[in-house]
Amino acid sequence: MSKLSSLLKATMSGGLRLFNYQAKSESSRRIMPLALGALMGMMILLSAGTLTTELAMDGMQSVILSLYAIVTSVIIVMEGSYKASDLLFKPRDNDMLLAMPIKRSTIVSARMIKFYVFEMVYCLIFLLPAIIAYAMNAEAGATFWLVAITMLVLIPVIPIAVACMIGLMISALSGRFKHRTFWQVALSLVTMFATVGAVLAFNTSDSDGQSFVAMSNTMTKYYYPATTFVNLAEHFDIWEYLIFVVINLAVAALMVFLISRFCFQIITRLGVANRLDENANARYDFKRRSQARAMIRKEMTRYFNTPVLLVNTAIGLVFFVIAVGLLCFKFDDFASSMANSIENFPLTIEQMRSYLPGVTFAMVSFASLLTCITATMISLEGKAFNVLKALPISGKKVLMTKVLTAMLLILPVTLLGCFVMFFRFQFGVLDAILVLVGTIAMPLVTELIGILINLKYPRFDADNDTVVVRQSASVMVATFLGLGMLLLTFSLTFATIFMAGQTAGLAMMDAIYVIVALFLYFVVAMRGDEKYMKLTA
Amino acid sequence: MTLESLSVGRFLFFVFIVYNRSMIKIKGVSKYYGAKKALDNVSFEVKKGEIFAFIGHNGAGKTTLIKSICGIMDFEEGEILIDGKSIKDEPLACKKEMAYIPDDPELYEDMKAISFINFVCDMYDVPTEVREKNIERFAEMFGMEKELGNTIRSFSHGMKQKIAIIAALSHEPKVLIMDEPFVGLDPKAIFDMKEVMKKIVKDGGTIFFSTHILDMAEKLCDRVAIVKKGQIIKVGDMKKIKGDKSLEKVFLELEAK
Repeated sequence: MSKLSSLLKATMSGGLRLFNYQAKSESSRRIMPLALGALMGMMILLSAGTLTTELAMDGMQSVILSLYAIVTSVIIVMEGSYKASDLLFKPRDNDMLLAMPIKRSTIVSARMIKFYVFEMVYCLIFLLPAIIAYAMNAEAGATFWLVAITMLVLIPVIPIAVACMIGLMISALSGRFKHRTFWQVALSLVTMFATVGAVLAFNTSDSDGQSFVAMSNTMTKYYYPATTFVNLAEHFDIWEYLIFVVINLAVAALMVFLISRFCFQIITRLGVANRLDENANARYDFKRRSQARAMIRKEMTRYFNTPVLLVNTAIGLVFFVIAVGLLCFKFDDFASSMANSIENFPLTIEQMRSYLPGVTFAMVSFASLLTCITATMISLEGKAFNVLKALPISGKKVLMTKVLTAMLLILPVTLLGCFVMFFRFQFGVLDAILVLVGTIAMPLVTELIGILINLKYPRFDADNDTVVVRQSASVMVATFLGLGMLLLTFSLTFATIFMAGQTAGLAMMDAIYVIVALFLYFVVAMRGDEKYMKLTA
Repeated sequence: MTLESLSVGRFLFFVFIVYNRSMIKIKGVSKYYGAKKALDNVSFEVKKGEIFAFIGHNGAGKTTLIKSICGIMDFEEGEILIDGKSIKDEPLACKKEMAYIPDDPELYEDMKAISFINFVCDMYDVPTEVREKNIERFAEMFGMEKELGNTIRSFSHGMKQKIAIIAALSHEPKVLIMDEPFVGLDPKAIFDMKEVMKKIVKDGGTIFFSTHILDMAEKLCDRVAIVKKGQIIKVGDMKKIKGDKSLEKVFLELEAK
């Protein structure tokens, strides 16, 4: 036990330093991420509170508990399954720990606990506000709080177990292939979309306007932790409570056993996959390139060899592609079902079709504003940042090539999607141009913000890429800002289209984004170099 | 002014100035980590065509000074000039003259070795034919010619160090700055590295490096600086500093004071 606690102390000390950067005034830098986190928590509390009040009118307030327990679990499974590959199988301390007189199960336990602590964040963001909202609407006694605290602690256990199993299978399978990064990304994306598909498959309601409640009720029947949460919150039963605790502890123990059994075999296989390529000494390329081209090539290599970053930044783009595909092939079905299902729906199918440029703009904003690649690009340099800094290339050029790389990764997908929409639905020339301007300006704003955030919150000493991509202050701030910008963009787009018409609305949104992009460009160009020069890995 | 118009005295003075000019000039450099002073008013010069060793115990400030010279790390007081140009005012011009080999070769792990070396050459704008000649020459010298197509991730520490060295040498730098360059290298590579260092200074280059291998520094270097708790406690010609003793003995005596 003392070995486990020492190991935990050692592994946690690095992994949990969210605010890990050299700064003279560290406390002032913490304000933004903490404030954004608190703001998000407040917004979820507000929405959960509103929903609970509405449900309480029908005596269904307990639905809020199961709904948010399910949401938390789904997020943990989706996110944890690709995080598990890095956290469990690619830590840098493998060789050091394996050489020490420590049981493998102790090493795995420490890693699992670290993983669990990271996933607890989702419980605090989603489940805690739901519990508070429920307690404010129902007569919550001491037993409810006992159940609530137990659930906060135990709800992540089963999803983490599922995520670890998926991560284990993905790593085991991808380790067998030569192009294992590709397979790891592909399998992770398939898992994520399969999870979403499985959740949507529970939507058995008859579109009565409360489909999420019906979906939640259906899922609650099958999802044991959610069922137990609702049962215990409504009628506390000590035996049901104890059985739930014992089952979760047993799942955790089983997980540690299974991962201890297979984890190190997979690590060995991944190591073998790193072996030298016997045929690698063919004719080498000595071609001279400009600094910018060389930097972009380097950034692209890094991006396409970082599965966790690929998956993390591909989600928005994949959703965009799916949305474009569905609209192209199923628009008439969607439009007619919408017109038929909602009483007094104000638009005809043709009118809905005329608003497709606005819809495309909204889809592009979803894909662009939630895909912030640059927020990790400085941190991912790691210790090699010193090598880069010693080279005769200006900080401004380094930063701009990082932004350009991100744009080159995003734009082909979004532009192609836009052109498909233009030709399929015969957009007017002006509307098409306005959508295109937004398609270029929005990711530019996101990526310029990302690079500025990463300059402010760099993390060069991470154990693995997951720590940078999923658990750094930079990504946290970029994600919150992206969500905020998305909400603002949606609201403003629909408000301006409603008030001034579609073309004028799109033009106004474009103007805003172009001005913001120019402003941010000048900030990076004028101040970026100075901030870059102050960084040291 | 033409060569014919120079008197012999003026010509010799000109030659003296050219060959005795400082390639690295460090003037009163101080660096703080919070309240701790990592470098305390450090001043010395490294002249053109010399191999200069920088020695001191762990944590004495060697890496901090090397990173400051290379423009990796900012410093609060003083000035560092590379071939007469300030690293603070003209960082790119200074870096263009230098190559840096880190103590821990943390390179871009996902890149192939050849891609990494080409990347470094691109940063220095090295022409294709020059880089091809240099890369092939140094790769062969360090026994890495068959490994260039492999990803850096698959290399051992020593192989990574060799790649860092090949990348640094391939753009023919005037000043080579190395932090513990011999750590992790095999005996053959250490021998080759020493030969390369001698060749570089023979061709008019300058080498500044930190090391803990004192007998090697003693045999290889023209001048030496000893640092202790961020302060230079001894700097000068190797022969003058060590006298009849070994460098190790001198170093240990100074450390004990």
